[in-house]
Amino acid sequence: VTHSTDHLISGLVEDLGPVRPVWPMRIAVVAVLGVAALVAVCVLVPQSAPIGVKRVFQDEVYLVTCLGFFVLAVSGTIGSIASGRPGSERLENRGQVLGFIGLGVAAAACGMSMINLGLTLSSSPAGLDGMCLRSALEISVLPALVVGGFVARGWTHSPFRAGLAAFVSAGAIGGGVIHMSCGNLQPQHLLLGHLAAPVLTGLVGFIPLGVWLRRSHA
Amino acid sequence: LAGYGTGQLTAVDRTRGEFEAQLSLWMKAAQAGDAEVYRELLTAIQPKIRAVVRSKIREEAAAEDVIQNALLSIHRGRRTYRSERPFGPWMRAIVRNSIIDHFRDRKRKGDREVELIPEEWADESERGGENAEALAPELRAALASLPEKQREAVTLIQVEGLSVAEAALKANVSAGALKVRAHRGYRALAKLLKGARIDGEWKSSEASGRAPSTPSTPSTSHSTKG
Repeated sequence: VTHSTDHLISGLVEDLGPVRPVWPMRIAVVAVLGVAALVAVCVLVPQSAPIGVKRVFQDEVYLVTCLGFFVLAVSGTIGSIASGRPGSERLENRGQVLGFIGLGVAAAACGMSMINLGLTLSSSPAGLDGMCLRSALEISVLPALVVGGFVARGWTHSPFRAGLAAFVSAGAIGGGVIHMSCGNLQPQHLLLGHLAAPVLTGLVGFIPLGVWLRRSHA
Repeated sequence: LAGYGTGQLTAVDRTRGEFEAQLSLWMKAAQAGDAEVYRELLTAIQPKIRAVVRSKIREEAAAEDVIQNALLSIHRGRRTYRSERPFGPWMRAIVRNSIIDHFRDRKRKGDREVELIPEEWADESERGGENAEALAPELRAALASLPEKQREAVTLIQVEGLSVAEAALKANVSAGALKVRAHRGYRALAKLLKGARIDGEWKSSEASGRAPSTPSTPSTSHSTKG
């Protein structure tokens, strides 16, 4: 049997070709967040005074949601990129758990606010939720490609979890940017128009990326 | 090779730190495409991988499969190693994942077992042949009717006798993907060959008047290797 392993080693040596090592973790994370910042600048700068920025300190739920997006985008990005680096499992777990806590806290804040105000989870008039959601998804495309690219270049052991974390964090970037540019304080709008973006990108993207990663890595 | 210090370490010198540093240097050279250093690296880490795997998996054949899968993962994932970080934790993480995969596979094994008897695949007179020519006509026809990827997986493992890791390397797919293809192939073969044997004998050998081949081992359920 050991002879078979020796034979395999010979095969691996024959198959060897030069490879470019993956970027260091910090540079990869900075690259993703740099893309996020670029997208945010492109969306927010044309607005002379982004309305959402003013509202951040006026409304507690709005602030908590904002922080939730920030935590989810940063931690989820770190967690998804770490998932492609063997030996970074602790960082992967912590990043992903923290990201989902951020999302949960933001959603809970919106939910509690709705209960306090006696609101139901119905759509806003004139399709405002859909408009914000669509814009958030469009903004998420570029970050999703960048994060997905880093995950694909890695070597993950949990393809579907890595895919979910990558797309949810990309959705959080899109949702966060829209959050800063939208002044609608209605908690149900924050849930359906803003916070739905990371959930939707995660649900749409994690299966194709997960299947692809499993086929190439598992 | 001398530039990377191959063979310079003696048993006394091999403190953990020095060995780690050496492995890190070798991996960096391997990433640049240095085949000789890469062979040294794989040969040097093989006993370490074996020690970790054997501490978790007692069965020799299964442990060997896990060792090979770990080596294949190290090969396929070598770009994820950063030379400024220690080599050991990176390697151990990959080995640990291979062990986890093995136990997951074993857990699913009940669902994946397929009634095939490898010993009956080859003609008694021609057993030990290294290609599909040695197979019974029914099996050869069934094998030919499989989709290409499944046929390749089954042929590499069962006809050419390669391990899963070797077959995966040859087919240029991951070990997991190869196992899935092989399993689908086994299942399709089992369906195609249902009824192709009467009283332990292939129909074709009965028609041609050949002596029936007696299985050397009792019928066992066979699942994908590794």
